[in-house]
This record gives sequence, structure tokens and C-alpha cells, in this order.
Amino acid sequence: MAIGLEHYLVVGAVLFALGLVCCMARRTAIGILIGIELILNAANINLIAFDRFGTGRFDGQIFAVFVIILAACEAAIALAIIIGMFMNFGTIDTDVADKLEG
Amino acid sequence: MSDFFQHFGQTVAFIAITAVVIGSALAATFAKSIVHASFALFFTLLGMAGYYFLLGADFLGITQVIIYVGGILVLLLFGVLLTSRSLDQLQIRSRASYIAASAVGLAVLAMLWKAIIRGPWQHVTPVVPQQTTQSLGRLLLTDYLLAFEFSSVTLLAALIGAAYIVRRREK
Amino acid sequence: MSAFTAQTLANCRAIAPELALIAALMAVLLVDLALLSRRSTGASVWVAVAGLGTAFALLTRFQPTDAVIFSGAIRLDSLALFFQKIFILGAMAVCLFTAANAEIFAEYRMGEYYALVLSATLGAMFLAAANDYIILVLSLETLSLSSYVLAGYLRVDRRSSEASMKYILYGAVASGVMLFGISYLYGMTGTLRIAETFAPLRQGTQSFTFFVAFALLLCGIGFKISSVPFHNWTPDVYEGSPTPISAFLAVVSKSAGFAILLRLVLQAGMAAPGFDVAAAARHLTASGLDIVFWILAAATMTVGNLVAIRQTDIKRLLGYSSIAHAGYLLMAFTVMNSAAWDAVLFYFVVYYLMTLGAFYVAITLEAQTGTTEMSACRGMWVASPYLVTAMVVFLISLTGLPPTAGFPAKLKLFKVLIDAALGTGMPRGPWFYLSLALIGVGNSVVSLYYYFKIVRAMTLERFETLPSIRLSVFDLAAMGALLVAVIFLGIYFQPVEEFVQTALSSLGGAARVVGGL
Repeated sequence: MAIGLEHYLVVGAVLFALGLVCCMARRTAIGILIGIELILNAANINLIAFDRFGTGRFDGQIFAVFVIILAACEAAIALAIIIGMFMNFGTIDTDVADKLEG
Repeated sequence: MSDFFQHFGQTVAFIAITAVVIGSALAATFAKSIVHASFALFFTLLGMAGYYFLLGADFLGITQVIIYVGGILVLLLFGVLLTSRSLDQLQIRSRASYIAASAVGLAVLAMLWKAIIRGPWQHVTPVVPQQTTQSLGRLLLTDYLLAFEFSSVTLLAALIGAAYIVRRREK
Repeated sequence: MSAFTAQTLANCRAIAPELALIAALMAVLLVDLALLSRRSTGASVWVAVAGLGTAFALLTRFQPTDAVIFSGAIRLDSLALFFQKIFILGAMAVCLFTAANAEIFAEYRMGEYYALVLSATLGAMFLAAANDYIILVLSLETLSLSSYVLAGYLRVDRRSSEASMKYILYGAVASGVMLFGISYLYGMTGTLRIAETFAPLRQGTQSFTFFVAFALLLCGIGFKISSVPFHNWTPDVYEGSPTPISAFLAVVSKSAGFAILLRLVLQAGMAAPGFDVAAAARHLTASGLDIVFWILAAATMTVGNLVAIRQTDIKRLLGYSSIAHAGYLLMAFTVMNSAAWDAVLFYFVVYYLMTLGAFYVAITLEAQTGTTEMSACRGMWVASPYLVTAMVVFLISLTGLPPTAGFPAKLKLFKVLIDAALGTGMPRGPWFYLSLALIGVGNSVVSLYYYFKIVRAMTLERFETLPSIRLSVFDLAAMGALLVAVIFLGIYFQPVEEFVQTALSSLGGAARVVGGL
């Protein structure tokens, strides 16, 4: 059996679903961030697989490079905000931080 | 004959990497402690780099290892260590929320499965070039020049923002 | 000089306004660095405003082009220029509002603030012109990342840091989901050009996979425009952010989301020069997308308005009100003809004026009383009749009643639906449009009630202590200008109509809108 496009897509879909579960179920901000990384990696494996089996024109790989850049930016800002939040609240539990209620 | 071995080798490698990636992603999602989840994520990200090599995207494979594993994950671990006074505090929410989330996740997975099976994907059989770095570099400085330059503004904004937020308190 | 270099330099001239903003961004940082020991607040705001002003001046001299530049990365058509102009004016207003109410930021350095406002505006500008997904995603993230930090700019304030954390966690998930959808669109068509990924729609070969991908893409945009069910973050973030930033999110960030939604919808009907509005509507309606927009519009305005009733904080209430306004705007997306786009753009011009006005009152309250709770506004009528008058006019306009600009704006939106219901040859029956219009009218009545709650708190309720409000000359001038604009455009809205008409000129031959109401 040769490994084809669909195999990679299924891996991407599983990672995406796991990432969503992680974002929904985890309580701490860093836990949610782990879920976000899973989702971004799911998008990337799709892009690269499509590039390899579909177009072969490298645009998918270029997009994947930019996704990695954005992931790095997002992670840096998110962790800065999380640490800032920790300095203010003494916790990163998203349920404890509930000054904003409506 | 050598073709067969190449296919066989690829299949074995794919299965091995998939076992690592899916297994560790499951652990990253369901592990009780956030530290364990972060370490599980390490193996997921490494496995992704393996996939990229398998797909002939060697530049991205290296990038994945350097930026994701070497950068983002280390950042994440710093975050875990800096913010957890007691690691026991950082438990998962509750069994109920995990069950509900898993149900949603399974529904999403079923939908995506259907989408993948039915997908009218573009299929050609391109030649895999030996080196992707040169092609990518050329594209980044020609067709994707604007995106390439613009991403430096994005990075600058992220840098300013992150540095501002965690800087020493003025008071 | 090679042909490519010459081409690139020519393209750079076309993005001169954006380059001016980048230069201003650098200048703000350098000024901040040079004046590190002293208070650099005054200097950096003027550098930022000068940069925005230069960019605006350059923009007004531009002729829109339907050509794509930078190898198809962006497309500076009249629609993009329209949105870029209002983004810049919105950002400029936010900068000036911030500088005039420096009390809110008394303990913070402001260099980074203006730099981030500029980078967010830059992101919004490229977003409005995006022609491929890489630029779309990059500019959306530049806008978002800057906004996350700005929302938490009061970093020793707990509510501000909580707002920014909620914002980034929701936002990052939304953009991840969107990226996943884009990857499928890419896989189906093998291209990253937005228009070409909609080829299946045009050819009538759309599949289940296409809808899944498109839905995932809409999730990301729905977050940006705070449409139900991705609206949860809005009130929390608006309440916790420093008020000028809440205003920035309500006007610039939201309209950037709509700009890209509008572009996606129009790209579905690509014509040789510009867009073919009628074809886009036909293709999207054939796939039932107008029903999706119907549901989103009805749910968004109803949820926004109903939850707004219970609010006691003015900023939070304006947050829900901005959700409701996204719902009103989504109404036009069920019809998708030229008149609908005309109404949407007209609404945006008016929405900017009245929302900035209402937020400016909130900014003044926060700067001078330290809170935006309604209970703190008691006796405001005695303390500052001018402020209360301004707020009343802005709220009347937000409700959509004459003689303010909100009236023609909302009337245009409803007229689009009524015309669609009465017109022949529409893809759905009259009740499809009429029912949505009725829901919209009902919602406007509900909104009257909660806007009146603010007015009542300011004028009718008893008070023990007189709130101390002292309006500066700038406060008076800024509020006065917005006040005059809102009333004037309620009576004589020809200039806005002309402005909107030029914005629609790149919508191809079918874009001749029947003018007037």
C-alpha cells in the first residue's frame, strides 16, 4: 500500500479534532495553547500534503512557512499575556479569572 | 524491485510516525498534568517534522524542528514553569467537560472524514525535487515578496507587544 | 535594473500609504527610544497622527485599479480604498481620543501603544486589499496580535489583562480553525488566490468538502465581526480594554472583518474587470449561503440586543450593541445585490461616526470618573449638559431614528430587504426577506429600550453627589464635530452616498445602484 494524500489528510483531521477537544476541555491558558498548536500543525500537514500530491508548485509549502511564523508570534504574545496575567492574579486558571461578568 | 522497497520503507516510516504523532497528540490532549501534556506535544511536533521529510519538504522539516520544537515548545515550557507555583493545581477541568468536548471532537472528526473521502482534491504526480530550499527562497523573494516583507511587520508588532507586556513593572 | 526590480518599485508606489504607516511606526519607536528618560507621550501621538494623516492624503490621491499587484498578492480596487480610508480616519480618531484623555493611561508608557495602533491599522489596510490567502492570514494576524496586546495595555489592571487573555485564546482558536479551512480550499483548487478557490462555486461543482472548508473559513471571520456564535469574547474584551481600544475594536477591527467578508462574497462572482455582483449572488444563493446569512443575521442581532438589556456598564452595553449592529449589517448579505452593498458601505460610514461618538462619551467618563458604570452617571445632566446631549444624539442615531444619520443608514438596510421581498426574480420568496426585516425592526425597538436606560441614568435618576466632569477644549471640539456630523448627515446624506458610489465603482458593470432612498 502506497501512502497517499488521504492518509496525511486523515492525520490532519485527527490532530484538528484533538486540538479542538483540548481547547474546549482544558482549563488553563497553557492547556488551551497546546490545543491551538495542534490545530495549526493540522493545517500545516494538510498544506504540505496538498503541495506534494496536488500542485507541486511550492505555494503550499510557502504558506506553511508563514503559518509557522504566525504560530511563533501567537505563542510569544500568548505566553507574555499569560505571564502578565499570572503576575496580576497569581493563577492562569481561566475560571478563577472572572472579573468580567455579565 | 527497488521501487517496491522504497514504497515499503515509506509505508513503514509513515506508520511509525503516525503512531508517535497520534499517540502523543492524544496524550497532549488528555494528560492530567500540563507538564506531561507539554512533553507529549514535543513528540507530536517532532513527528510532524518527520512527516515533512517524508513528503519531501526538507526545508520545512528543519524549520519545524528549529522554530516549533526549539522555539515555541521551549517558550511553552517556560510558561508552564514560570506560572505554576504548584503543579498539582494545573489539573484538567472535569470528567464531564472532557466527555462533552470529546463528543464534539468526534462529530468534527466524522464530518472531516466525510469531507476527505468525498474531496475533489487536485491530483497530479509531480516530480519531487531533491532540494526545496532553493525553490522556496526564490519564491519568497519574487512571487511572495510582499508577504515575506509584511511578515516582518507582524514579527515586529509581536516583539513590541510581548516585550511591553512582560516588562518590569514601573511602580 | 532587472524587469522584476522595476516592477517591484512600481508596485511600491501603489502601496505608498502603507509604506507611510510603516515609516510612522518606526518613527514612533525611535522617538520613544530617544525620549526614554522624559515623558514621550506627547511626541509619539503626533508622530502617529502625522503618519496616519500622510497615509490618508496619499490615499485620496489614488486612483483605484482593478489590476492585482505584487504577483497577485493584493488588489487595490475602489472597495479596498474605501475601507482603507475609513480605517485610517478611525485609527486617527482613536489616537487623538487617547491623547486627550491621558488620565486613563497615567501610569503607562505610550510609545508602544501608538506603535501597536499603527501596526493594527496596517494589518487592517492590507486585509481590505488581500487577494490571496497568505496576505489575508498575515494581515488578519497583524491586526489581531496588535489588538490582543492593546486590549491588555493596562497591564497592572486585572480586568485589562483578563480581557486580553480571553481575546487571544478565542482569537487564536478562531484563526487556527480558519487556517484549517483555507488548507482544504487550497487542496481542492491548487491555488491560494481567493477568487480562484471559489471556482467550484462558479462552475456549480461545489461538494460537501467545499462547504466544510467554507464554513471553517467563515468561523474565523465570524469571530472578527463578532457574529453569533463567535461573539462571546466581545463584551468581556470591550469592558476590560482601555476604552479607546474598545472603540478601535468596535470600528476598525470590526469593519476590517466585514471588508474581508464582503470581498470573499464578491470574489465568488469574478468578472474580467472588477466583480460581477449578480453572478456572485447567483452562485452563493444557489449554494444556500443566503440562508446561512439569514440565520447569522437574525441570531446575531437578537442575541446582541436581548443580552444588552441586562447590562449596567456602558462599555459592556456598547459591546453588545456592536454585536447587534453586526447583525443588522449581515441582513444585507442575504440579498447580495448592488443596492445591498451600497447600504452596507453607507451604514459603515455612519456607524463609524456614531460609535466613535458614543465611545468618546464613555472615554470621557472613564478618564474623569474612573468608571463606566451607569450608576456613576447619575446627575450627569447637571454636571455636564453638553456631554449628555451628545450621548443622547449618538444613542438616537445608534437606534436608527431621525433626525440623525442612523436613520437613513438603517432605512437603506431595511429598504434592501423590502425591495427584495417586493421585487420579482429574487431567488427566495418574499417572506424570506420580509421576516428578516421584521426581526430587524423588532430588534431596533428593543435597542431603543436599553439605550434609553443610559439616558435615564444620566438625566432622570436621583443623585447624591454631583459627578465631577470637566471637558477640555478638545473634548468639546471632538464631540461637537461628531455631533454635527451625525445630525447633518441625517438630513443631508448626499456626500456619503457619493463617497459610497465611488467605492462601488469597481463592482463591474452591474454595479449601477439606483440612488436615493
